[in-house]
Amino acid sequence: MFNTTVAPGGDLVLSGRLTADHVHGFEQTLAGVSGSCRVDLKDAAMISSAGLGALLACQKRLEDTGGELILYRPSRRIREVFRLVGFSHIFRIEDEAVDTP
Amino acid sequence: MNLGASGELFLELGIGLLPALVFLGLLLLLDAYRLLSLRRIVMTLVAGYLSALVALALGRVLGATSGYDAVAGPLIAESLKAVVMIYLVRSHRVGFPIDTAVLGFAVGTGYMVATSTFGLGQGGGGGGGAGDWLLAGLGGALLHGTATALFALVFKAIQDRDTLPMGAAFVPGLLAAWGLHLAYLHTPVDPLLRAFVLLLVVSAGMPLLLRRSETSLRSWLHDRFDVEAEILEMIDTGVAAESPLGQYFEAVRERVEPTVAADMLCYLRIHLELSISAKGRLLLRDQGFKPQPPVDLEERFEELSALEKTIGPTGRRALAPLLHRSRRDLWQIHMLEDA
Repeated sequence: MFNTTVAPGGDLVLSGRLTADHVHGFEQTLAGVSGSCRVDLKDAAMISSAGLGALLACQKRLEDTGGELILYRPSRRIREVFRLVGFSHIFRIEDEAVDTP
Repeated sequence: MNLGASGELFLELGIGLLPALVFLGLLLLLDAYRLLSLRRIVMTLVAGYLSALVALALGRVLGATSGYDAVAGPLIAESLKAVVMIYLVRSHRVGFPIDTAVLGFAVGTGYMVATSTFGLGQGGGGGGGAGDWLLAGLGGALLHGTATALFALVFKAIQDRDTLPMGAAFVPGLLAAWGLHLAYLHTPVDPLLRAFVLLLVVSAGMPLLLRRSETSLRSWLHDRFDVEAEILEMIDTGVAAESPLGQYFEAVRERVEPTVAADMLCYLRIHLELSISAKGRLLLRDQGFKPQPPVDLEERFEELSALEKTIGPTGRRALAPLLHRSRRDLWQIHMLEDA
C-alpha cells in the first residue's frame, strides 16, 4: 500500500511502500511540484529503484529552475539506501528538528 | 609548406585515424550510463595496439606463405583482437551490449593505430593526398572496429546464455568477424563505396544495439536493486528469521561454526552494499547527475576479500542464492573499482 498526500504546510507526505507498481502515479504527483518542496518520508516504509529514479528526475527538473526537493525525516533504513546510492550529494536530507529544553 | 617525410607521416597518420577516433567518441557519447571509464578504454586501445604488433610479427614470419594476406592474415588479425575481448568478457569487464561494442571498437582502433604506424612507416608515407589517407583510415578503422565489436557481441551473448561450452563459445563470433573482414577485403567495388556501405550498416545497427542495451540494463538495474535493498533491510531489521531468507540463513548457520556464520552475514552485507552503490551510480547517471567517487571503497574491497577467505568456497556457495552472482553482478563490482 502506498499513498501520497499534501500536508497543510505544503509538504508532500509519502506513506507505505513505493514499489515499481506505484511509480507512475508518484511521477504524476511530482510533475505538479514546482519551486522547492519538502518530501516527508516519515511513514514511507520502502522506496524502490523506480521511486528513486522519479525523485532524481524531479530534482533535476527543479534544479534547472532554481528549486529543489528536500527529503524530510527518512527512516534509518531509507537513509541508509540514500547513503549507498549517493543521494546525500544530490538532495538536502533533513531530520525532524529536536526541541531544545 | 614542406613538412618533411616525418611530418607528412604524422599528418597522414593523424588524418587516417581521425574517423576511428571520431566514431569511438560518438559511441562513448551514446553510452548514457557512462558504463566505461576513460582508463578502461585507453587500456583496451593499448591492448588492441599490442595485438597488432603480434600480428605484424606473425605476418613477417608467415608472410611469404601463399594466401596469407588474402585469407589467413584476416583470421590471425581477428583472432588476436578476439583474445583481448575474450579476456574482457571472461573477467566481467563488460556488462551490456553497448560497453561491449565500445570496447570492441576500441580494440579495433588500437589495432588500426599500430598497423597504420608501421604500415605507413614502412611505406615512407606512401604518397597520396589527405583524401586518400582519410579514406584508408576510415575504411580500416571501421572494418577493424566493427569486426571486433561483432565478435565481442556474439561471444558475450553466447556466454550470457551459456549455450555453448567455453571451448567453442568464441567460434561463431570469430567466424562472423573473419567473414566480415574477408567480405570487406574481397568485394570488388570502389574502396570509398565499400567504406561508405559499412558505415551505413554500422550506423543503422547502432540504434538497435542501443535500444537493446538500454532495455536489458534498466530491467536488470531495477529488478536487482529492489531485491538487494530488501535483503539488506531484512538483515538490518532482524526480521529475517521469519522470512524465507531468514529460514535459509538459519539452515546454513546450523551447519557452520558461529564465527563463520557471522562472517558470512558480514560478507553478504558488504556485497549488497557495494552492489547497491554500483547500481546507484547508474541511477544517478541515468538522470544526468555525476556520482561522487565512492568512499572507503578500497577498505570495503579488502574487507570483502578477507571475508571471502574466511568463509571459504563452501560459504560462498551457500550464499550464492542470496547474492545472485550473475556475470552482470560481477561486472558492476569492476565498474565500481574503476570509479
